[in-house]
Amino acid sequence: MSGGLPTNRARASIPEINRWVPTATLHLVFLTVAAGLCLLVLESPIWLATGLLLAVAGTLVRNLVATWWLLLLLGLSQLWREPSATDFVYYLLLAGVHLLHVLGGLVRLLPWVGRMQVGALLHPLRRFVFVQVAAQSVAVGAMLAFGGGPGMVPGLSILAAAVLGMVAAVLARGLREAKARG
Amino acid sequence: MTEDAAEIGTPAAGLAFPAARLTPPAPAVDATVRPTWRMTATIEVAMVVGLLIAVVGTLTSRVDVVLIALPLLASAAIGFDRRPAAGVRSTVRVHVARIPSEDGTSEFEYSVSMDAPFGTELVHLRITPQGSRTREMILAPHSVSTVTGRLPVLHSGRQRVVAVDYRLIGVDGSWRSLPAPREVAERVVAPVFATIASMPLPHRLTGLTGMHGSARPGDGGEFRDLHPYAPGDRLRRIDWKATARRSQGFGDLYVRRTDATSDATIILVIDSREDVGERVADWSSGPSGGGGVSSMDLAREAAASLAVAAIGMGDRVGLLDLAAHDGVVAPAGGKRHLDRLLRRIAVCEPSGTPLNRRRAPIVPAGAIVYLLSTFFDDEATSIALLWRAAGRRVIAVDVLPAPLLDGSEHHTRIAHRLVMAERRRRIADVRANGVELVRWQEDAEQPSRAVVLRTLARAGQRRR
Repeated sequence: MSGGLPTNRARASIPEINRWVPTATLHLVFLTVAAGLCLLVLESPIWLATGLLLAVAGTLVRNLVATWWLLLLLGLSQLWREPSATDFVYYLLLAGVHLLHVLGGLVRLLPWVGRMQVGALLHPLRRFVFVQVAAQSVAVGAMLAFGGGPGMVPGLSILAAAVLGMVAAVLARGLREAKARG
Repeated sequence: MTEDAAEIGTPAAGLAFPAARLTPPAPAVDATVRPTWRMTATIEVAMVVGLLIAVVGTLTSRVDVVLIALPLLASAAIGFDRRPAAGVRSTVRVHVARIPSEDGTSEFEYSVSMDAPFGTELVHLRITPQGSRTREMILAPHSVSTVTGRLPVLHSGRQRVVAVDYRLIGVDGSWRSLPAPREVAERVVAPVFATIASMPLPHRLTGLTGMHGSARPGDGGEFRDLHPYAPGDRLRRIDWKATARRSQGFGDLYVRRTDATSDATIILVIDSREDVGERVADWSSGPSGGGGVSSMDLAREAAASLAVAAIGMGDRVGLLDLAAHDGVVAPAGGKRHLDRLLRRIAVCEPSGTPLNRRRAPIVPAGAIVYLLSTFFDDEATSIALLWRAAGRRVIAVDVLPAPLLDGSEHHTRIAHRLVMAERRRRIADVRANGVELVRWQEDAEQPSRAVVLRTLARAGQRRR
């Protein structure tokens, strides 16, 4: 020791933040949700393999092309399923596609090696729940009201699209007002 | 007063004295920028995918398919609605405090806080503490102030305690800002200093007042001789007993003469052109940022110790930084001057640009020069020889830390052996020309630093 300076290889402590998780957790959650949804809704082996490949690519590659195709594949996979108000897979698909979109948007900006405050997930999670509550409610209502098969109610989808647009506008307006109120 | 009596009551691990006065209040980084926001592809993807699904669902009259697009379009709408306002500023603040540890060393404690603009949902923070790897963190903007960390104070001088980079992320990753410019929190760490009991002084003392006995007659404490009274002698100097004993005739008077006291002028010359650490393998990679003692740590410690000891003895001390154009502090004494010296010593650091001197810097006549260097090139030694040739007493203080060759490759060891052989030759040359040598870092193979300084102090006393 020379006059009070440490001569050993002392290192800085790891910066302290509140409760945290490794950022890799989000990447792995994305992969798990994507793979789980693929296994749940894609029955054809070819489409399943494609979906799993896109899930892996969406996890590893930092652009949204793979995620884009994966969301499209999962969303359109509903065409091969019979619509039913009691089909829980549909509601899982509705939530899963949204969750993949949220996670996909975040993980491409996050490093693999790092830490994420648990509190930082609060706002995205709250918004996800808020949107899902609205979306699932509309879905349940629509499925109960028009619970028939394809082509049974022509023009129903146009109505649904209009409702969808209105809900989005209301959501945006509500959030803007909430922001203005502080 | 003799040189040996120059005892300065300064603790060896005297952090309290210089640190308290030298370390300025925490120089918090307070940087405000206008983040440049960019929309990511997330909104576009959500809209395109959502619309495609909705269109396909509409064409196939499948309300369940259309509804899958609902959350995607809602997310896109929210992301677009909550776009960050352009021109709103974000501010990052880094506070650094120095706190003592239980083992006598000290640590830096830093905290990072931030004011993030509206629309910021996450802060991607990158913190690089000194001597450590970069840490990546994703934080909620309101929680950034909770980021704290500690790191040991490894070196004296100007320290880049922590570097902070950050980037802001908007709702669901829909927006992100360009990385803000890196901010670095710096602190100046005052060098510690050791007690110096004996300090070599110039061969000839030229000052008029001070605490050292000089060879010329004057008002002092040490008896010199009895001398016949001469015009100009003070009447109170007449020794009546000696006059009664020695006077041969009426009117013969004898005065008692004393040696004058004098102060010394000490010039500390710091060769701060390079900073090498203990690890030989790191010598070629620039200033030593990691652990271990570096040559500049030892140079600052030596300079501070010598300055404290000399000013404690009432001497005049000046400073010359060989690497800096403005690195001259004129010789003076007093406590305020000591503060000034210690501050200047603390910020001595390699400037990165070699300063080629055509002639030796001017040193006052009768001054002693302490040259603190690693002696890795001829610059310092040639200047020392010029001063020596001009009659100055020059003490070369070797501040090279004991080299560590652990993990060095074979060619590094050979290069080290060659460099050290050249250095030994250089030092032998200057010693042969009358420059005295002190090795500052204590090790078992060398005589103690205190012993060497005492020997040099006594040698100088005999000559004076």
